[in-house]
Amino acid sequence: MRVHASLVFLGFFLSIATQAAAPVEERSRQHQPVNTTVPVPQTPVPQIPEVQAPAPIPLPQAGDVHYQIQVLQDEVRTLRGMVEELNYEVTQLKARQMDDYMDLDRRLSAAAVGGAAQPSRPVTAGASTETASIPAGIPAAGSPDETEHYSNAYNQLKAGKVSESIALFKEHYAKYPNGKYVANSYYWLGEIYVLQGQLELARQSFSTVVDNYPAHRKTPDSTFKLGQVYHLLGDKAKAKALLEKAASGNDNAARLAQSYLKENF
Amino acid sequence: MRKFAAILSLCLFTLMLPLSGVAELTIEITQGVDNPSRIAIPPITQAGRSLPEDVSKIISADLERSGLFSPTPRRDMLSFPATAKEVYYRDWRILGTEYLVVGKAVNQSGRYKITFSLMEIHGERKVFTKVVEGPTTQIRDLAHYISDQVYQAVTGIPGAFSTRVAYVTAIPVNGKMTFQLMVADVDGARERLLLDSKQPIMSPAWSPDAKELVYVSFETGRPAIFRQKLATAAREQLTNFRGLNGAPSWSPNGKTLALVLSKDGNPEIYTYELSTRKFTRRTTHFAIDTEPNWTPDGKALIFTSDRGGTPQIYKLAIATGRVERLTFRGSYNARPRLASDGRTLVMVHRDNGSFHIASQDLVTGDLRVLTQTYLDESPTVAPNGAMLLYATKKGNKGVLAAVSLDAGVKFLLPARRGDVREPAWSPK
Repeated sequence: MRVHASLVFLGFFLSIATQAAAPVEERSRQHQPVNTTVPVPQTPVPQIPEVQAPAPIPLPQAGDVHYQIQVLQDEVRTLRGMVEELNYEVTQLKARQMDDYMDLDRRLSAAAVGGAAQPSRPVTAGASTETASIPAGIPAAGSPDETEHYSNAYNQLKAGKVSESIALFKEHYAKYPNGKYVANSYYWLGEIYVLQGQLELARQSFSTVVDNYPAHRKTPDSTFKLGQVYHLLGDKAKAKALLEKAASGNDNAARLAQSYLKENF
Repeated sequence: MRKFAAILSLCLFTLMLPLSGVAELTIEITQGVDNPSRIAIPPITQAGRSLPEDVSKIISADLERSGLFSPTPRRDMLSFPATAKEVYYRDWRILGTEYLVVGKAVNQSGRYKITFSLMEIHGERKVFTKVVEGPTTQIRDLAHYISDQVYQAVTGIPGAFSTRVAYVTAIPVNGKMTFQLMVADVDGARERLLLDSKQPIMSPAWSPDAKELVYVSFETGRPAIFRQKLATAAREQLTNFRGLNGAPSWSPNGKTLALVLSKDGNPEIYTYELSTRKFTRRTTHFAIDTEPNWTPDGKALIFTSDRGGTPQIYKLAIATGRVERLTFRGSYNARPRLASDGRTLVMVHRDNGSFHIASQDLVTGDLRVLTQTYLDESPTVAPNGAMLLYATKKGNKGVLAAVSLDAGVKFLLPARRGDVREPAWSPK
């Protein structure tokens, strides 16, 4: 891009320079026959024929051609870019239209066959039995569906889609009540409720972690947060007890609880 | 564009502050996953005597760096079992440990043999027992091998802890810049100097067997492409054309290089047959074509071109010469690299005016910006496709950073001195 722009610029400059220089030279040449007696030492002799030979018109023309090629090339590139992008969009649209049509077709034929027979059921059933039959390499890692579901909820939260993530976290503990990430889901719900100022809901979420999952790695954090929530709700005694419990550990939550206690009690 | 990058990088080099110390890389983890697996690796010793390197510490560091594991601190361990039989699962359950790696070493005439097992605590079972052996000088390699095995068993993805990374450092010495081509283990250890030059060194790329590098050096006064063997440090100059000689990339079968030459007036992609020393011009377009890279099957090249008005990534089928555009989002996509699955494209993507690393799924077309750091460039993907390294800025220092392809794990590898840039992750 840069290179091209500078070349165009150079072309311009050359054509202007030659046009500007030519008249001056020509005038000095016209003056010469008049003042024959006065020698002109400052104008060197070989310079005159040099300028004379290429008449002022062809040079700027050459520059023009070069300039025009540059302009055309830029134009071609821009057009090419547009064609590529349009082509891509058309392909996308075609694919989507096809998908929509297939979906519609499937629904229609399902409706035609068995009234309101669930159209997508056979597909999901097949998929789930398949995953179930795969021997789990190492069990404690959580089933892939479960992990995926949880990380999806967590990613929604990270992406700032709060309401979606609330729904997904709730769905998660409903769907996998004995799963690996139930405590995590309650914990994050608690965090969200605190941010939204829904302290009672936050209290319930954190209490669930603290009461039901005493050994979970989110429990120290939940204890600290629960203490904070009680403090905000005005129950100083409960808040203090929980914060002191959280502060007695040796983790990040303990450090946070210690400084919170120092600042507020 | 390459020329531009070269000028830009030169400007950036001169901005650095002189700092003393060794330019070895260190690692700071900036973001891990929400739920790393808890793993404990008690010391691996030779019947109680410690090994020349702390093998279990190397493994812990490897696994922690992946972001998927949280190692149990050694001081919390209640016992140091060395074999599967010595494990009391209760000891580890109390600590909340999910996995345990135990091992013991035997020295047999200058070679170490390490027998190691991976245990799953909740299920109270042994996942595997394996043996690895090697010379005493390669004890770090043995440790990385163990990390690879454990990582693969737990995550299902092959590990990439035994790989290396090549990069260029720029260090001011007596007011003048010194450029160094370095190779280090991917954990930053065992850093080795390959080339020291007063002139810039750029674009290192690995041979598929990871035994050689190609790179661009300005030592002759203009850019030229060199190849260099790691074992012997023997080097050979491959190109010496007028203008650009840049961005070499080794084909997956090791026989051909793709590179950029401007000898015919305009930066174009060429291939260079290493055995016959024959150059073949692959692109003919008045726009700039640069930064070629092979697809894993070796049948096509991906490259950056501004033939569509803005820098975008294209794919060129070698057999037919057919060119196809791959990127459609954003007004700047450059420096493409494909992961070994041939499907995940990583590149430098301009997003709201700042340069970040993005990945694009070539099948679904989904684009994802992976980094939030400033002025990100030169992405290079790990052979297992789980992570990528890139160059970025921290303060006004050039540093290397890593991010997992799901953007969940991030860490920085700042050098203690000078600028680090242009990382290239070894293919094995």
